[in-house]
Amino acid sequence: MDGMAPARNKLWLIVGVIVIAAGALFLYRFSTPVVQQVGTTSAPQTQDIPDLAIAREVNAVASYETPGGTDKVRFTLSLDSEGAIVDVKTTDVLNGEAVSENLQKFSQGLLLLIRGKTLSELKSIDRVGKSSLTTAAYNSALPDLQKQL
Amino acid sequence: MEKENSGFTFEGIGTSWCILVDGEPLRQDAKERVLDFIRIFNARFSRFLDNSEVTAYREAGAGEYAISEEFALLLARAEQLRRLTGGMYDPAVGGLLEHAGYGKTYCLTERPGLAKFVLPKWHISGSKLAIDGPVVFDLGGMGKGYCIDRVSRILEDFGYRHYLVDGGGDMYGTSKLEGVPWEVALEYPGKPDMAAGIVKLRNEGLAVSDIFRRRWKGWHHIVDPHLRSPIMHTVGIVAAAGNAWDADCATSAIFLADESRHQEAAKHFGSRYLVFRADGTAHASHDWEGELFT
Repeated sequence: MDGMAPARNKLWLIVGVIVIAAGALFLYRFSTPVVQQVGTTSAPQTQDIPDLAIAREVNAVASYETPGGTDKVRFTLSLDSEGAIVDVKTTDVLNGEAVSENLQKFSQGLLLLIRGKTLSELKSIDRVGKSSLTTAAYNSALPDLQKQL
Repeated sequence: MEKENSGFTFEGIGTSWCILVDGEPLRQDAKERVLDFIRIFNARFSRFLDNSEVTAYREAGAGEYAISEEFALLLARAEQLRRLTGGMYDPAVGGLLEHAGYGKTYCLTERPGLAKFVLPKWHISGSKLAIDGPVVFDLGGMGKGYCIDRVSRILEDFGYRHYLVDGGGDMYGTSKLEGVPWEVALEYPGKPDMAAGIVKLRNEGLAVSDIFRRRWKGWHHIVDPHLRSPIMHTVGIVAAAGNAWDADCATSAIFLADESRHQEAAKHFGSRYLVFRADGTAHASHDWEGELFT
C-alpha cells in the first residue's frame, strides 16, 4: 500500500487521472460516456519484468454507457520517480482486465510526449521520412538572399 | 557501415530523390525513364517556370479553359482537398506565395501588394478549368506524392518488385526481399538529427509535412489563404496510406483542416496519421502503427 506518497504528488496524480479519463471519454466513439466513478487506488502492482524507471502505478476506473450496456474501463498509469506519466494502459474491467484492442487505442489517442532518439542510435534504418528539402539552387542563393533580411 | 546498394540519387521537382532496390541493381534504362518522367513533370507543373501548365493563367481573363488530362487529375484531387479543409488548402495560393516572397526569385522578404491579394476562384469539371481571372497554381503538398507513385509504376513496368522510392522525405515502399518491410525513421520536427519514431513500410506510402524546412521571416510555406498568415498550431504531420499520393494529400488535409475534421480527412485517403505539436507532444490516430520514442 502506498500510503506514504506526498500530498502534492497525490494531488498531481488525481489531476492527471482525471485529465486522462476526460481525454479518453472524449475520444471514445459510438457511446455516450458517463463517468460514474473516478478515484485513485494507489496500490502499486508488481510487474513480471521489473522496470527501474517506473516508480509506481496508479489506476482509476471509469464507467461508460454504451448502446450495448455499461462498460467499465481501468486506466493504469505508470509513473517514474519524478511523478511523470511514462505509460498508460487501458483494460476492460468487466472482462477480467483484458487489454481489449479497442480500448488500447485510447492510449494512442492521448497526447504523448515525444522525447526522440538520435539517428545515430538507430541501427537498421533504410531512410528517414522528413519534409522536403529545398533545391540546391535555393541553398546556393541563400547567402545573397539572407543579406536582404 | 556502407550498404552494398546505397540507392539511385538525383535532384528533381525541387527536391532530392533516392530510389532503393533490394536484391538487384537498378538498370540504366529504368533510371533514364525515371529521370525523363521527373524532368517532364517539372516542366509541366513547376510554379517557377513561365510556360508551365500551372503558370499559363498568370495573366488570363475569366473563362473556361481546356486543360491536359494530367492537370485535370491533379486539380480534381486539389478540389477534394479544398473541400476537406474548408477552403484552407487551395493551390490558387500560388499567387499569394509569390507575394510573400516565395516566388521565382526567392526573395525572402514580403513584397508590397500582399494585403491586396484575394484568392482567385477556380473550378474543375472534367478536363475544363473555369477561373474568374488571373491565377497561378501551386501543387505543393500533393504533386510530389503523385510523382512518387508514377515513379513506382515505372519501376514496376521494368519488373522491379522490391523497392523504395524516396522523393525528398515522402516515399512509397513495397518491401525488401522475402517481404521484409523497409524501416523508415521519422524525423523529429525541427531537429534533423533526431528521430521521433519508426515506421515499417510494406506496400505503403508515407508523407511528412512540417513547417521548418522552408522558413523565413515568420512566414512558412503552409499559408492560410484567407487570413494571409502562416498556420502556427501544428508543427508536423506524418501520414501513411496505400500510396504516396494519398499519404501526401492526407498530410495537407490534416495540417490545414480544423482539428474536428482530422479523422474525416484521414479516412478520405485511407490513411493513419501522427500530429506533432509545438510543445513536443504528439497525437496518433487510433490505427497508427509504428514505434514512437516517448
